[in-house]
Amino acid sequence: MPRPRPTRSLWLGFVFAGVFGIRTAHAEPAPAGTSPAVTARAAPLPAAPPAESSTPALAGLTMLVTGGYGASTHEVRGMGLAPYGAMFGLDAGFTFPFGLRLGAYGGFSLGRTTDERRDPIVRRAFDFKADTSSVNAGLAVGWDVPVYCLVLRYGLGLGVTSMKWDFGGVDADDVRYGDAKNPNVGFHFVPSAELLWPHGRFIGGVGFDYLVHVNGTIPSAFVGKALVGVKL
Amino acid sequence: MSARRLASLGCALSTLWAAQAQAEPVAPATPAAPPAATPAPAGDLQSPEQASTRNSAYTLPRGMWAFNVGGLGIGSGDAVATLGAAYGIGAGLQAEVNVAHMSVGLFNIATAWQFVDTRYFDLGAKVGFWYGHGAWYWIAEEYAKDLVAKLDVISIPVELVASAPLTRWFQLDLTVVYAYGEIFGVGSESNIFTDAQIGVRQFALRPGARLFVTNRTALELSTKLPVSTVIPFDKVDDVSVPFKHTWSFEAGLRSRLAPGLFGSLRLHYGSNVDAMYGARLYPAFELEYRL
Repeated sequence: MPRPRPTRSLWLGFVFAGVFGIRTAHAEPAPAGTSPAVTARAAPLPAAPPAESSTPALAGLTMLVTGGYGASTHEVRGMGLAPYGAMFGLDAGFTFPFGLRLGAYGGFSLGRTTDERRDPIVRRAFDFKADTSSVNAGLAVGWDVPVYCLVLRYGLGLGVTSMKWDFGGVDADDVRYGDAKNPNVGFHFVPSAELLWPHGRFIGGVGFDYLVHVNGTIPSAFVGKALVGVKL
Repeated sequence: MSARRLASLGCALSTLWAAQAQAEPVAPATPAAPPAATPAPAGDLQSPEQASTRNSAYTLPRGMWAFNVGGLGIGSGDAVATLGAAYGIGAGLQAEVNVAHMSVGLFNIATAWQFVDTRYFDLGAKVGFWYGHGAWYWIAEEYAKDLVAKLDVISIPVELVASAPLTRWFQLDLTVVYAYGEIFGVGSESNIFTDAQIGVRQFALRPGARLFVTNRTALELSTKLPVSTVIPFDKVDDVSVPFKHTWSFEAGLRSRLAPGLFGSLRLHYGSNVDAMYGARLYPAFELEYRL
């Protein structure tokens, strides 16, 4: 049973999210009125629970520019297609005062070229290059949760990805990709998490998306990203 | 002063400033008004009403319902998709069912019992029952579907779970689980049920840690470390699966989005994730409403 290992670029995605990632402070004294003990389990413990503001600071309309790096998390028909790589996009949405956010997103991924090898049963093995890139867009629902002066944003997007592919002079049928159109279009959904820092009208932050593709001929991907934008 | 404390102080100051700027004028005092009974303030994620029951010793308080919906899960109870209900019966007992699994030929019910409840240490037990009918597992791809088409699977996981809320911002969990599995029918020993560790006989440890970042958000980490995994496919010579193909790890965030409403997002890593979804790293999400 083949057990593909995460590519180096997947770890790059992690590093991108991790280097700028969550560095939350905690264990501040709880303000008065925070959680009296309900049972023995919630009875006073050595340190008081941390607390935070109850109102998200991002209520209203926000526009964000995103940039990041995406890595495919699995192979497609024996090929390590990489239609993500460096990614740029836009993210706009409205957050209600109670935290619910409705938005839309779109992005372009430069992708990159990967070296592939095919070893058919009845013919000689051959090498080829697979060049892929993609664009994606969709609608998202999310929820903003305050974390001290930051905002943790959960999201779930539903949209469409269009992946362009080019195998050079190799016939797509010879690499078992002949049934896919070019560009190859499919639905995706995107669980995501972002940690945002609102400062006046300015918003900055980092986060990750996981593009889960319904179309099995487009690889799913982990995307680490940075966001910069404004609150309108 | 440490950088962390300085950052917190900065956050607190900016919050205070914002609150002051938005403060409404103080209403004139009404001396005749008796002190009204104010509603209990919201608890934190370690309080019984809000504690996570996933991979922990805790169960729902008596009379509390929990309804959840989610997708792409891994592991007992929430594999593939979740559309479930749980109920706190009382005396630490809880019953739960996931009806989403029925749509893909899986049926599972579970019960949990928290029988030790102290300030620093809690203990619970969980028992579940799974039945999988391969012919109804339609979401697999063609080849994988063929492999399970003539198989039926039974799994009975039994868990002993210890949780230790050492401070108000840190908790350790340890689960000892034995899953008894049985596979009936004709097919390959390597199929989506066994590769996803449904239907195997497995003894495993699952240590975990929870960092309560605020009173409504927690970072949750856990790893499953199987000591022994056997596929009971061939009764004459059971197939043992090595540790490197069975361990898994998950990291997630869980937050109280609103009173009674909880959201969580996890990333799973492991061979069982690969078997289920075709990638070693995969996300899972869940929304839970308690009332």
